[in-house]
Amino acid sequence: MNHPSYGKPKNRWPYFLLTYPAIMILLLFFVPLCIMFALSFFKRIQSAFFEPAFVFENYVRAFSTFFLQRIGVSLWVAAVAAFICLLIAFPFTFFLSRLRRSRQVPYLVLLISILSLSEVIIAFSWSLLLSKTSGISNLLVALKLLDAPVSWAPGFVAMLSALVYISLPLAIIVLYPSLSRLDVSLTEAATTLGASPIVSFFNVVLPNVRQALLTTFILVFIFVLGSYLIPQVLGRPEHWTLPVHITDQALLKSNMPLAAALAMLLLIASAGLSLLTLRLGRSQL
Amino acid sequence: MMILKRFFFSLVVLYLVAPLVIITGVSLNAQKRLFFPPQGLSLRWYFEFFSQAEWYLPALRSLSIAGLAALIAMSIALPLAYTVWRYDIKLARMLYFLGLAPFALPPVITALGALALWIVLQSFGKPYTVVLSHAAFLVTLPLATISLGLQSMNAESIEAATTLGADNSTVFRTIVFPYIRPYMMAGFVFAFVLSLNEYIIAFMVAGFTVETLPIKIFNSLRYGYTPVMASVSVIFFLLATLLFGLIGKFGDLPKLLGADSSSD
Amino acid sequence: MPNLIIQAISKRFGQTVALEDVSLTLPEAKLICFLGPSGCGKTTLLRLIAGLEQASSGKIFLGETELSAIAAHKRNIGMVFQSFALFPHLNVANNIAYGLKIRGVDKLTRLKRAEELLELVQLSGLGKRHISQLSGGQRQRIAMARALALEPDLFLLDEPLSALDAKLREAMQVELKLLQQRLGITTIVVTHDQQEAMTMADVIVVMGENRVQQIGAPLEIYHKPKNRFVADFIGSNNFIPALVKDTQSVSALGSIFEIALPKSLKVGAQVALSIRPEKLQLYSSEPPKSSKLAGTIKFIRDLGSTVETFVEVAGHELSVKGIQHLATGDKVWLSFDPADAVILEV
Ligand SMILES: Nc1ncnc2c1ncn2[C@@H]1O[C@H](COP(=O)(O)OP(=O)(O)O)[C@@H](O)[C@H]1O
Ligand SMILES: [Mg+2]
Repeated sequence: MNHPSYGKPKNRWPYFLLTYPAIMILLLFFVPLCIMFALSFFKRIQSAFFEPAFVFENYVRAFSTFFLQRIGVSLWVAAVAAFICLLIAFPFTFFLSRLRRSRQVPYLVLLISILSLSEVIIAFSWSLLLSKTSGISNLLVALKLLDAPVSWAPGFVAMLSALVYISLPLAIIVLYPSLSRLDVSLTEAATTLGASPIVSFFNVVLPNVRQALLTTFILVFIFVLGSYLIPQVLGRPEHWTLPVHITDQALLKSNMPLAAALAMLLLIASAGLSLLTLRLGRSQL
Repeated sequence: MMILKRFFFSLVVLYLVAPLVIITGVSLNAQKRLFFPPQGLSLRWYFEFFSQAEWYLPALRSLSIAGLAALIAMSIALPLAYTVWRYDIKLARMLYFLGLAPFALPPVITALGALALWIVLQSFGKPYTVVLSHAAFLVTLPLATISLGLQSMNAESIEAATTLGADNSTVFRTIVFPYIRPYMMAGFVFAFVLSLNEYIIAFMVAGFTVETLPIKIFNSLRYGYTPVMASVSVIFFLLATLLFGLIGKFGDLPKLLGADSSSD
Repeated sequence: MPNLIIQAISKRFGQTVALEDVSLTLPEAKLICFLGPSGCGKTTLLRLIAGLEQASSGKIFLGETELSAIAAHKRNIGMVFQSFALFPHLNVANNIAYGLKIRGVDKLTRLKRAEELLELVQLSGLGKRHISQLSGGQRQRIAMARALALEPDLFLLDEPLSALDAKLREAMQVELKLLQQRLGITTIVVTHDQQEAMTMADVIVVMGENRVQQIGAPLEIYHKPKNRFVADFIGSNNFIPALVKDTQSVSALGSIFEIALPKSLKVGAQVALSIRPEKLQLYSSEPPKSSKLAGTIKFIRDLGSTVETFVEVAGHELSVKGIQHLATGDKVWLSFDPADAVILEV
C-alpha cells in the first residue's frame, strides 16, 4: 500500500465506513452463495420451489451420464475457444501495445465497447453474419467464390466463431498490461544482437509473458464456460453449455435444487481456476 | 514482415468490426427484412425504436436500472477501496476480495444465487431486485478503478497536505477525492454500460416481470426477427463507444487498462 | 575499420523534430561522446546508427557500405541500452551468448566465449547467476559483455553509467576508456555529463537544439567553443557583452581590451567575450594594468578546495575562481589575458 500512514486504525471511524459495504456485499453476494449451497441439498417439490432437507440426490443427478456429458462438452468448448482466442489475441495485443499511446486509444475503445456489448447482441449479429439473407456468403457469391448464398448457423463452427469473438476483447485487455509493460528495449537489444523480428518474438517476448498467457487462458476459459446465449442461438442443443442447463432447470423445469447443485460444480471449477490464476500472478512477481 | 504484421492486424480488426458492419447495414433496410447489403436505405427502424412502447419502455427501464445499479455499486466501492488503501484491516481486505469475486465466476452462478436470495426474501420478480443484484455484481468495476487511482497517487502529496495542517477528512476532501474522481467516473461508466447489457442476472431474478432491453432483444430473437433489433444494437454500441471514447479522450485509457504510466 | 559517415540526417516524430540536418564524419577506432542536454536528440542519433529508427531523410555509411540500407538485425552493431535491457528469462552466460546462439554457434563454443567476456568485464564465474541477482554495476558490465560478444564493428552505449552511483561511475569511466583502447572498436557513448565526456572521449560531438553544435577533441571544445551554446554548456563561463572598436580592440563594461579579432567582424558589431572563471584574476587593490574592470563582491561560495566569488561589474555579475580572502561588499578589480577570451558573435 502506498498510503503514507497505512496501518491499524486508531479509532472506530474506519469500521463505521465499512459497515455499509459489508452489509451490501455480504447480503447481495455472499449470502446468496450460501443459500445456493444449502439449496443444493434441498428436496424439490412440485407445488412450490423447494423444501428444506439434507439429501444428496441432486448431486447424484448432477453426476449422471447426461450431465457429465454436458459438463464435458462445456469444458471442451471453453478450452477450444480459449485456445483459438489466445492464438489471435497474443500477437494482436503485442502489435497493439507497440503502437504509439495515442494510436492505441481508438482500438482500446473499440475493444471495450465490444466487450461490454450484450451477449444477446453479439449472438444476434453473428446469426445475421452467418445467415443466408444477410451473411458473408452473399459477399462470397458476389466475389464469385460461391454459387449460391448458404446459411452457416447453427453449428459448432458458428458457435465457436462467436465465442472467440466475444472473448477476444477480454483476452486482449487481460494481456495488454503485461505486454505493454514489457520493456521495448528487450526486443531492440535482441535486434542489435542479430535476431529478426520473428526470432525475437519467440525467444524474447514469449518466454517473458508465459505466465500472463496462462492467466489469460484460464480467464477466457472461465468466461466462455459462463456463456449462455451464444450456444443457444448459434449452437445445436448438443453444444449447449452448463449455464443453459442450469437456467433451464431453475426457471423452466422449476428444479432449483438441481440447478443449485450444478451451479456448485461450476463454482468449484471456476473458483479453483481463479485461485490458480491468483497464485500464478503472485509467483510472477 | 511489416506487411505481414499489418495484414494480420487488419484481419483481426476486420473480424472485430464485421458483425457491427452487418448489423448496421441491416438496421438501415427500408423493408421489414433483414437483408445485407440493405435494400433501400431508411432510418425508420430507429424511429420505430423511439416511438414504439414495446421498445422504448424496456430501454428506459434498462437505463434506470443501469444508472441506479452503477450508483449503488459506486457507493459500495468508494468506502471499501478507501479503507483497504488507508488502513490495515483484515475485514476490509476480505470484503475487497469478495467484491472482486463476481467477475472471476461465470455470471450464471451470481444469477442463480440472486434468484435464490430473492425467493427466500419473497421479493422474487420485483424491479428493485434487478438493481440490487446488478449493483452487487458490478461492484468489481468501480472497486478496481478506484483502487487503481488510489494506488497511483503520489504518497508525498498526502504527506505535504498533512504538514500543511490537513486532517484525515480534509485530506480526503481536498486531495484524494479530486484525484480519484476520474477513476470513479470510469468505474461508473464501466458499471453502467455493463448493467445496460447484462442479460442472465436480470433474466433470472425478474425475467418474467421486468423486461429489460437485452431480454426484449432475446425474446424477439426467438419469436420473430425485426430490423428494430439491429437498430437497438447499433444504438447500444454507439452509446458504449461514446462513453468509453470520452474516457479515452479526457482520461488516460491505456493507463486505466494497466499499461505502465512511465512510457510515452 | 572504416569511418562512420552521417550524411544530412533528419528525424521527425510526427510534429516533433528530433534531429535537424546532422552531418558528421567520425574517426575509426576512437571513443566518441555525444554530449548534450536532455532532449537534444542524442539517443535518436544513436538509434538511427543502430537501425532501431528510420531516418526521415539522410543516409549513414560505414566506409563504403550504406549502413542505413541494412536491416537492424544484420548490421553487426553492439549496443548497450540505458536500462541495460538484459533478458530476465536467461542467466548471465545465456544473455552474453544470445547473439551467438542466434547465429547457430554450438553450445560449448558459446559458453567458452561467454566465459571469456565475463573475464573481460572482470566478472568471471558469474555465468550461472540470474539477472535479478546482480547489482547495477554488474548489470552494466554484463550488458557491455553481451554487446561485445559478436565483435561488433561499432559499439554504442546510451548513457551507460547514468544508473550508477557517483563513485562507481567515475571508476567505470576510466575502465570503459581502457577497454575501448584495448579492443580498438569504434565506440560511441551518449552522455549528458560533460565531465564524463571530458574523461573518456577522444572526440566529443556537442549536440544542442536537435543539431550538432561542435565536434572536436575535448580540450579544443573546452578552450575554443564555437558558439555561445557550447561555451555555456561545457563548464561554466562568463559572458561579457562587448562592442567592436576597431580591428584590434573591443570595449566592454566601460574598459577597452586589446584583443585579436576575426576579420569578419565589422567595427561597431555587438559581440560577447566568453571567459572561464579560472581565467579571471581578482585584485583587492587597483592593479597597474591598462585593461581592468572594477566591481563589488556580491557573494562568496567557499567549497573548501576552491572559492568562487561573484563580482558585480557595471550591473553585470561575473564569477571568479581562486583562493582569496575577501568579504562580501569589498571593492575589487578584475583583469584577464586577452588570449584566454573567446569572441562569440551574438
Ligand atoms: N519515439 C518517439 N516519439 C516521439 N518523440 C520522440 C520519440 N523519441 C524521441 N522523441 C523526441 O525527440 C527528441 C529527442 O529525443 P532523444 O533523442 O531521446 O533525446 P536525448 O537522448 O538527447 O535526451 C525529444 O524531443 C523527444 O521528445
Ligand atoms: Mg537519451
